[in-house]
Amino acid sequence: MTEARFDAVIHAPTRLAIVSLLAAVEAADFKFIRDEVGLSDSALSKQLTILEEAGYVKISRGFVGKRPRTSARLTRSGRAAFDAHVAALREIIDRGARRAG
Amino acid sequence: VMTEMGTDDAARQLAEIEARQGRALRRVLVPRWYWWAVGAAMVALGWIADTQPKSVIVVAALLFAAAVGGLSVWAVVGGMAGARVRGELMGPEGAVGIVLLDFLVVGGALGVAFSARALGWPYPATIGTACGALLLAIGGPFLMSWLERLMRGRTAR
Repeated sequence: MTEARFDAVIHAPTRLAIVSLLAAVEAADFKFIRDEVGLSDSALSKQLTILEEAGYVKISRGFVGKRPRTSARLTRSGRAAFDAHVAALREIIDRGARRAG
Repeated sequence: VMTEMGTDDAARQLAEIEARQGRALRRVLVPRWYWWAVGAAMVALGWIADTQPKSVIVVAALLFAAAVGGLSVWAVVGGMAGARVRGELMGPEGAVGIVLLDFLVVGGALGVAFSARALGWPYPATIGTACGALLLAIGGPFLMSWLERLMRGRTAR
């Protein structure tokens, strides 16, 4: 069972969007994330750097032919933090339901 | 932060997470055109098997295997969508579903082709592969929507 823990790094809307997306896939290209989340290149780079510094995301840079290709994946601690954050959200909802019921 | 967040906000955030993950999963799974493209290539191979000499059939079969294999690998490594499917979300059931579809398509195509040949129908391989292609065109998108549901059920738990 995942322990519920609200995560301040993940809580920010744009980072939550990025982490949610990465939690559903093995790894995603920069372009895929940018298109899905609807951020500019620079804004996405900034958010990915914050997540990378928190140890939640691993960024890989390489080439496909001559074109540079950047991809990102959630680290083990990133997945754990996301699962704990989701569990915390569910806990809030459950508590609210219990209070209402 | 936790105490500041209300039930509605938490529910909204959770719904957004689920919607975003659902969209991502739909994008990373194989698109509908893939099944039609492979089906069309199958029918072409069947027609070649019915009408062309052995040397052409061998070359066509090798080309077919290389094209379908390459396309499938490209899809699996995420080249098609720009993201890779998370294997653990698919689980053994997902793998079994994919293998079952393969058996259904190949078995169906071969069964119909051999039956058509036994009945003396013209173009038995074309008929067989057309049936296989139809199974693929129907079964492929069905398998993808089943996999999407399976994977969605395992994300954001």
